Amino acid sequence: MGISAVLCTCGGVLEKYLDFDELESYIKRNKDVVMVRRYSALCTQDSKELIQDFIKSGAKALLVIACSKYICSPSLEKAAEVLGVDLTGLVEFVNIREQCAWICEDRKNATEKALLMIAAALEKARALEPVKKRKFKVKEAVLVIGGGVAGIQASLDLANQGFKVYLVESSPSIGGTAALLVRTFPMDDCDCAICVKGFRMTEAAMHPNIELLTYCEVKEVKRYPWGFKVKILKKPRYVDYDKCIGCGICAEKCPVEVPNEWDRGLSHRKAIYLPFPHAIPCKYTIDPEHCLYFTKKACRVCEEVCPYNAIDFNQKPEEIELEVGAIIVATGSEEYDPSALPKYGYGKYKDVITQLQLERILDPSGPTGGRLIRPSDGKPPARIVMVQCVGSRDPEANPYCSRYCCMEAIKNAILIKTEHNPEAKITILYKDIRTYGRLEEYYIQAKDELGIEFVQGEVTKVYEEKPGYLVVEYQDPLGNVHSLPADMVVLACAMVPRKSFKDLAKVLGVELDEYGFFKELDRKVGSVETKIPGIFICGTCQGPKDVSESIAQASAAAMLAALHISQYREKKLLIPTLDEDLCGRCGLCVLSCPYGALTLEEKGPIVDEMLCQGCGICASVCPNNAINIVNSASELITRQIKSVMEEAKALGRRVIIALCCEECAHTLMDTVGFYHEEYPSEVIPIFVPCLGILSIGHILMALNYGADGVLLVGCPLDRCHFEQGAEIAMRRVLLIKSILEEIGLIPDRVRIVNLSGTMVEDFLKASRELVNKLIGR
Amino acid sequence: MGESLRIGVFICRCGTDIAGVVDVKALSEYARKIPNVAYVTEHEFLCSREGLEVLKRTIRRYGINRVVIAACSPKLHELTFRRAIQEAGLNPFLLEIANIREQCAWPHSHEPEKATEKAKYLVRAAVLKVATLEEIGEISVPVKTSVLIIGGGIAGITAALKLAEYGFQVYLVEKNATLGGRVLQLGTVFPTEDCGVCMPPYVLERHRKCLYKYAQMVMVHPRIKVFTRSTVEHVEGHVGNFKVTIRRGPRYVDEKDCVACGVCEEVCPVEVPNEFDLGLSTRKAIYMPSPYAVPHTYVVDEDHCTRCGACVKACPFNAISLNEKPQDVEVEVGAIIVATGAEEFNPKGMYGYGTYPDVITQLTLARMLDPSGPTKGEVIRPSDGRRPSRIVMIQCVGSRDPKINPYCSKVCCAIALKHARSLKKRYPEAEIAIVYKDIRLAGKDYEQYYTECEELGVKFIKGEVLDVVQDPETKMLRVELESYGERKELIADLVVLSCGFVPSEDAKKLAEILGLNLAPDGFFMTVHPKLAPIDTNTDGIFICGACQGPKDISETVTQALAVAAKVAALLAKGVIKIDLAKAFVDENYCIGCATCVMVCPYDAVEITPRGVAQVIEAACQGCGICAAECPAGAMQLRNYKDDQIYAAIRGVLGA
Repeated sequence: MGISAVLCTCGGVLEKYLDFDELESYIKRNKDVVMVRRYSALCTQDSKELIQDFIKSGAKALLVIACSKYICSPSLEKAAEVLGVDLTGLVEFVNIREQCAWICEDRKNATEKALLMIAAALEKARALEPVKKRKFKVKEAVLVIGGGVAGIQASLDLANQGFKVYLVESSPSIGGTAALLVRTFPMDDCDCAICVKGFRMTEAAMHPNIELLTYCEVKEVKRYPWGFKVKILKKPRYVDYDKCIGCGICAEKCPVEVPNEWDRGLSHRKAIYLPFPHAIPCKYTIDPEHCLYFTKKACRVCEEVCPYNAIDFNQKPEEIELEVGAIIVATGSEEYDPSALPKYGYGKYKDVITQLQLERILDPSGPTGGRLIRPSDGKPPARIVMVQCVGSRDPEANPYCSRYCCMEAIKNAILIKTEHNPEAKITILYKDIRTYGRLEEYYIQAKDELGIEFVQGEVTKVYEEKPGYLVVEYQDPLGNVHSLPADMVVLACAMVPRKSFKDLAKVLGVELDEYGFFKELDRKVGSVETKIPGIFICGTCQGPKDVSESIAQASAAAMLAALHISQYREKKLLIPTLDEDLCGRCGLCVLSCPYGALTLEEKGPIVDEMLCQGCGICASVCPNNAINIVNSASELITRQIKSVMEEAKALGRRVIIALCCEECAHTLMDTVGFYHEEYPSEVIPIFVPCLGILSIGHILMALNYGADGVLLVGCPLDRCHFEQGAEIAMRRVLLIKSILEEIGLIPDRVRIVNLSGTMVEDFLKASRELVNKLIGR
Repeated sequence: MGESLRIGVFICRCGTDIAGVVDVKALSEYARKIPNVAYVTEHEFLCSREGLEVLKRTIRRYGINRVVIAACSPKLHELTFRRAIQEAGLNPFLLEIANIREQCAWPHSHEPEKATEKAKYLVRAAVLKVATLEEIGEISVPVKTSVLIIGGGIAGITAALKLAEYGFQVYLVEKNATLGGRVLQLGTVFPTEDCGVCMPPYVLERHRKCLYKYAQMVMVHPRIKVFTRSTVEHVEGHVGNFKVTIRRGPRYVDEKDCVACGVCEEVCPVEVPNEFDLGLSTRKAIYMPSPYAVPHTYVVDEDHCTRCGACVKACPFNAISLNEKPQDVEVEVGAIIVATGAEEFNPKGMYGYGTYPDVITQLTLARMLDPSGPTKGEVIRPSDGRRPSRIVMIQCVGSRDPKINPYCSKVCCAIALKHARSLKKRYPEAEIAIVYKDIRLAGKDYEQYYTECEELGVKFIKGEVLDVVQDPETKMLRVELESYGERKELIADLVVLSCGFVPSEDAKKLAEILGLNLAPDGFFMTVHPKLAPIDTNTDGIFICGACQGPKDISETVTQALAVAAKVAALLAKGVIKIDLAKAFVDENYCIGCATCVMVCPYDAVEITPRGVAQVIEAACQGCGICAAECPAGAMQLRNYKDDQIYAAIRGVLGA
């Protein structure tokens, strides 16, 4: 039992700054320290020896007094692994180099500061317990939601690695929006979308590892440590899947015609239908909303004519249960409905169409057989005006830019010029042309080679002068109003989240962002992950993007999903423990957890070990102190503060307690030291996992024990590594300040700064100001 | 093969794409009359699942043993059809595709009759050729389950960690002394405004970590071996089995012994401009490349070191040796990932850059704005160290310029707006103007910068800058520009050029070593920008990140993960299957002249000790150049043997 304490002199360099003899003799005064040793290079040569000494000493915990733990801990961990010792949770580090030697005024101050830091660390070392690790493996199967270009790519990537994939699509065919595009950019070779896509659609459908679940919806998802139990609702097609061979006789005879949603209303389909000619699976579906049998109990012609007896009006919804280890959401997005903005005249004038409708018109297998004609009278339009940013970059609709529409408009304009009507006069009205990256070459081609006109301006209104003669009125950037005559107006509409996202997000337990797209873990480097481990997102359900970006994201999501399900994983269980006798079942902890890791049961809160990240916010809200994080118990923090203050009194030093988080603040304290930037040695850091773990009590206790001030150093508010911790701490500090004021103390004795790891200057300023004001130096 | 030929001809109507031009009925009539054709059928979409079922059913029912498909380009569906006939019990190579869409119906849509005639010839050629085809098998080649990653920036690090986690051995080669790449220099990065060294890892550790801690994970990972200051010198072999020579440059400081105490730096007498801070600060000849350097050890800059030996004497660990020499290390890997990133365009001579010290680039501004940078976050005029009050940013410097680089560099708008916003927040009284062509903030993450900058009073001027000149008296900079046809002038005391991305200097050399193609703009070229944006022309070599074209961090990370997925799928099974539709040698005729060895673009032929040529199947790409050049007629390409090509020619000629 006891503590083994080791010091590192950094090759003797630190002896210039610190009196190691004094530090050693101080440590030895603590009865429970069973071994004290000095090394000169813990981070390199001495790590193995250190671990051996530690084993020999029989101590329970190890106190390492050296440089930044990010420099010296990796080699210690390695040495421990080699020697077969598990030190998880049993090591406490004191950084006497970057956080002390290199930033103090002189040797005496540095030594005394080091001593106080060691006092806090000793207190912690006494309480250390081994941290359990949990090894586990999740189910080797993946559910992919959405059968568009992203979902298909993710499915194929996983299936090719040998994993089982369930591909769920809510409509009767896979293919998604990209299957409706006439071509996709960049257009280097034959790239009509359906060819390129069709290939992959077929590949996905034929893959032995992919189970296609079309016309199905995800109804319920339950989380377990091994993965997810998923309930899927299979909607009735009223056509026997196995019997139907897709001959289409039923549709020929069906008397009901309804607008075809796949052709964006430009054509009609029957009540029994195949969404589009290349649909996969090639199986017909009855639309009960329009079928005469379902609406009027009449007809049943399809049943009579089907040569294979495949029609089954008695089909009922079915429920399918699946068990998977990971879920990839790839549900795509929708085109914005521009009739919400009356100035564009969409819905009022037949020849005002959207870019997606134009795609259908230009598609050889679309409603016009690929002939460029306008919807009102079937005449080929000679003057076409394309309007950009409809519903995008518009505070009235969507503030964001939809990213793909500039390129889509330019692509369709080029197609019209090169393959339909070289004489057509095409004008593109835009705010900024955003053909980023190499796509710029298409812009140059359109503008300089094909004579497509680009005009900067904003549409004020679209109206009809006389039937068939449209006029687009717009304002140029200088404020002048112009009019453009047009035979057809094409609106580049925003990419918007589907209405179904809200329900799906709820079922999955993930969040949507401020625009309603699925929210990523981090916009910069975590764009395919969500808050929930094992649930990934890709494609346009995460935000507007083009086909190639969707494909890249899908592959990335597949990679992470594959890793998630294929590896044995290990998680350090830095989680809360519960004292059932103290717990009052109030549920405050459950409400406070940023990860939803706690649920309230009869005996008290139950922790989901896999979800908990160990921030300790739950502990800080518990009114009975019944919940505590392993190795960061609330009481322990208080004891650490007390210990520092008692030693300080003995030394006759004044102290500002700096309560720092282990994330940004730790990096920051190391960075300041790296630059040898001096700040007052009165500032004594004590580290906690997240500022959210600190209750008001901790701060008041520090003042009570005699600290001149308390400085909280944590992550910037919007970038707390534990989501809400920094903000919670901020609110608590405000509250403390008002309490201090109320009882007649100086509220400025408590201060919080929210800084990232590089903000050296701000930290120096804050610490110097605080010492100046409270201690007067 | 004893059985008689039974050729099946399957004609796809492709909706109206083929049938709208070619008279499909007449074509099938014609096909029926070609010798050995046992069955002819048409289908609306042969590539559909239903069509493939028909194909398979027909083959089985009618005992078809050779297949001709008249449809679209084999580039699209050859693989699909091969798989289908294999499922029907045939060897997948007993298939010939007549491309009657891209090579017939589409280009001849105005002459349907002639198109139908041409289709007949194409089908006839395919039938005659398919009659001569042979079964081709496949072999399994064991692969190395290790990966070489060139470039230790964010793309390389991401791919390395993921692949190592998957269980592969990773060799990470970085030419600089530290991992981290460009991102380390950026201060804060959009869209999250994190400090550039802050990066989250994935999956289980759900909270963010700094890049340097993250790079540290790379250093200690048991399956990642890091080579800093190193370059790839030579590569041979092929997918699954590459042999790579890595030249390990000397650091002159032993990574294992250095504890980063900094004593060496204190005693070093040489002071030089610090490239990490773009010359805004100085460093010694022995130095730590960045506060967040990984490995966190010192390194000697041999160009400036005077070999005085002061550091050697001062080092308490004897970690310094100024006699260290470069070392060549050989590793064997199954796949190679290129992640070498890009560089900032050097605008020397443009807009007064290089002439007036107060004309700087965005990267220099980023170093100034970095709170831990050389000015601790203060923006200063390099000429006099004073704070600027009128700042003009010029967009598209070196991008969207037909004379320099035609492409758009994608991220410079976001960088400029990010900086403009930071500046306005820090110095609310400063006047900031941005001269632009288009503001390109595509996607959901960035538009807020635009609106916010406008609210903060940043001026946006659409126009083109003609020149920047200094007023000899006031020393102020005059930015002359044209906006909406009008000449204008802006007075500035600091001009910031938003320079585009350019390929890194060594891209050319590396491309040569790896046998990769560069796009005309100098970035590494992909096979297909949309469907295969990370594949290269050489199997087993992949590219990701900015070395393939301008990209932001988010896209780079996504691509790095996608590459990792590709490599994992390729190597996970330990073997790859290679079909033998490759060149082969008839040893009876081979005279060992080695012409084939010389002409092969893929180094896929070698001369055996017995003096005859031998094809390395895993490397052969099946181009057939060797067969054409072989003077002895010993080299042939399977399914493109002379008699097979003649058969096709006879078919076209109707002979």
